[in-house]
Amino acid sequence: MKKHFLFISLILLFSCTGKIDEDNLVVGSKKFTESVILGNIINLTLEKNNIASTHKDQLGGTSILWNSLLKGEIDVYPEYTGTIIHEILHGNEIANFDSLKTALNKFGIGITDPLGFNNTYALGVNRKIASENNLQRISEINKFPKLKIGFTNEFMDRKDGWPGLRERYNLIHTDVAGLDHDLAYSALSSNSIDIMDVYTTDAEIEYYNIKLLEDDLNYFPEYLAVVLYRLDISDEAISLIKSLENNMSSNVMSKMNGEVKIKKRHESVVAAEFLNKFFQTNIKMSQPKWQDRVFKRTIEHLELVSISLILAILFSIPLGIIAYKNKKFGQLIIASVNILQTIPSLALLVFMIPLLGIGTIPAIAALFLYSLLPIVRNTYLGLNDIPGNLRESAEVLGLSNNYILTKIELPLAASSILTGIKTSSVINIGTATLGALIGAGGYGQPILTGIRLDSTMLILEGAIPAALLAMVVQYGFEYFEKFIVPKGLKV
Amino acid sequence: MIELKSISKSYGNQTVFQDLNLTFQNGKTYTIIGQSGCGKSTIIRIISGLVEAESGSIYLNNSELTDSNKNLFRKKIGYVIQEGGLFPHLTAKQNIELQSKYFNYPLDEIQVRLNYLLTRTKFSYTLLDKYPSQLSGGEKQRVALMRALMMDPDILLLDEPLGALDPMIRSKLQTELKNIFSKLNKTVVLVTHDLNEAAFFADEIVLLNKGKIEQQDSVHNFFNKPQSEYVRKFISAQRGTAVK
Repeated sequence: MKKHFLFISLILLFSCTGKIDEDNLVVGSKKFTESVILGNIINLTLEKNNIASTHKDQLGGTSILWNSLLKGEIDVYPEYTGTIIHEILHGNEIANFDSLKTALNKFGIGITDPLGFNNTYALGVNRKIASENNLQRISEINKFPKLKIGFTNEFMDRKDGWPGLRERYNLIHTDVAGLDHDLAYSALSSNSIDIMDVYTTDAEIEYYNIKLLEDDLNYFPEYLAVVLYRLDISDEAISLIKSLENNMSSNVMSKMNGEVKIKKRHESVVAAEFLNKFFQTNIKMSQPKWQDRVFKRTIEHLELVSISLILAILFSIPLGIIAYKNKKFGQLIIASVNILQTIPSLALLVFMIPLLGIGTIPAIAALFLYSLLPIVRNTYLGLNDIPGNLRESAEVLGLSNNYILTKIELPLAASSILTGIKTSSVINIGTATLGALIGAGGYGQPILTGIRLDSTMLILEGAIPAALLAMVVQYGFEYFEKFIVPKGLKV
Repeated sequence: MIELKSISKSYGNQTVFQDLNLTFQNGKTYTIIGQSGCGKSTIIRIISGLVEAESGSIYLNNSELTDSNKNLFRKKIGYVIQEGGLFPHLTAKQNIELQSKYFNYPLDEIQVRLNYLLTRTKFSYTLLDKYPSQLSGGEKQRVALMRALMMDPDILLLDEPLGALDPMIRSKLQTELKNIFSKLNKTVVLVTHDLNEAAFFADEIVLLNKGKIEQQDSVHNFFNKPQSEYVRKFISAQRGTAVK
């Protein structure tokens, strides 16, 4: 029985590792709308010229994308010159675009010329507050120490973000909240915060009527959009990517952002329209149907949950048995899986990236580790709770230890073990939604997109199926309990 | 014949036995009695190999019990543990047949043996497919007894076999059990805390006090020729509460 499980899970594992073949180019994008649109444009450009490519969208922040590019997990992604100079190549002297190119080439990475627009940082203020206080420039905000500031988490830590800005302008504000970029807009419009960092091509600036403060000390560098690619991809692909150079104005980009964020149109549709208009192509993209999306996410989510859970069951039950048989070693096992459980799930996912890259495999590994504790603990407790006289009865009958374990102890502990598996699966299904952050897809994807686009419907599109799946699995196990837990324990 | 020679055993710094010698002859029924904590259960747990003595040796028909032949010994020993120790996930029949099936006894022999035991213990066929939780206290004890006797062992060890039963059923089972013992013609060692029960079953009574044998004697001698002040006190204390 166990051998079959192992066999099936190995097949599943191989089937998901083999999904992306060698020739297929992988385009990555960060988890904000502009990056996703640019990712779609690159992907469609390659596809329409018959170069197989996939788009892994919303892969988190700069470090995930850059490291994935270096490792070859992705081949291409859109980036900004400011970010490359101040974040990625921080510490290197970059005098001009040519020296930037040379520095990147040393990593085996190529860079296109700028795509045509500058998406720099700016500080945005609620226009009403700005006009009431006659606030025009960044240097003036020190006059208003009570202004509530909310910055993107990435901006808070970036070398070209808040620390440098505070130094340049001698800002006195210390109470700064870190929050998600897309949530910051609604926070600003509801007066929860007064000042936020914006990207100058954000469509919300116009939509929410936000006043941009003048960077009077010229702090923010240029953030010219470019495309980074691995130098080992084909020349044909490189020249196609380069065809995008100098073709997008700030205005065009800002409009595309608005189409997606304000008008809620799909990134691929907006990207196709751009290519059709400026490159005279004829790509037909339609707004994906929600049924198709949910179906796709369900398959991805089931893949994450089932493989990680099956592997966890296969490892945890033996671990629980070892813990029960050998009390000293057992304490070590229980303590170790306990510690694993205390690592925040998001952190565990991110820890996996340097080891296993991005995508399904690291997500499965993290979920696997996360699912161990309830099963190990319940196996151990279930075995430990068997009354002493039953174990002795078995012993005096002269039965072997193996026979006692498989025919007496495990059946008696079955109910407890099953409860552990049930707990694990429910935790697993919930935690798997975070897998989307490292490119594993699943129900987390619509939740992530929903947060980005401020769309409750999209968030529910991920949250409701996840909750339903948890319930179905819960009831499924309760049904199977009838067959797994020996009848004699229930009469 | 079971011989315990110079057995010493302690739990932590609490000594149970120091240099204990005890012999059980073939075909006789012995009852071991004493206050709780006197070590009476430990004796049969040592014989069955559940507990290991620190020093000394145990002989079963002149062959010594060692770690390697422990399981061979166990085929020759039937053991009824406190509260029966029936496996709740197995039916009465599965409980009874477990050991014989594990040791690959021929199925027809198992069937013959089962029929014999059912008759001996007056246990109904119809209850064989019930689970322990569906059986009464007395029925469970009979199943435990049949399980212990399935392999036709030379020796039957019972640890407070009737301890958990209510008095009416207990007295009825005592009579039946004595009947069964007399027909089995096996060496029986029964542990109890009740002097009346001990006297009822025994050919010989062994009274233990703090790990030492106060007196090992026939029932008649035990009551009429107590060898120490402790034995006298023990008898009179138990007579005070007994209704006979």
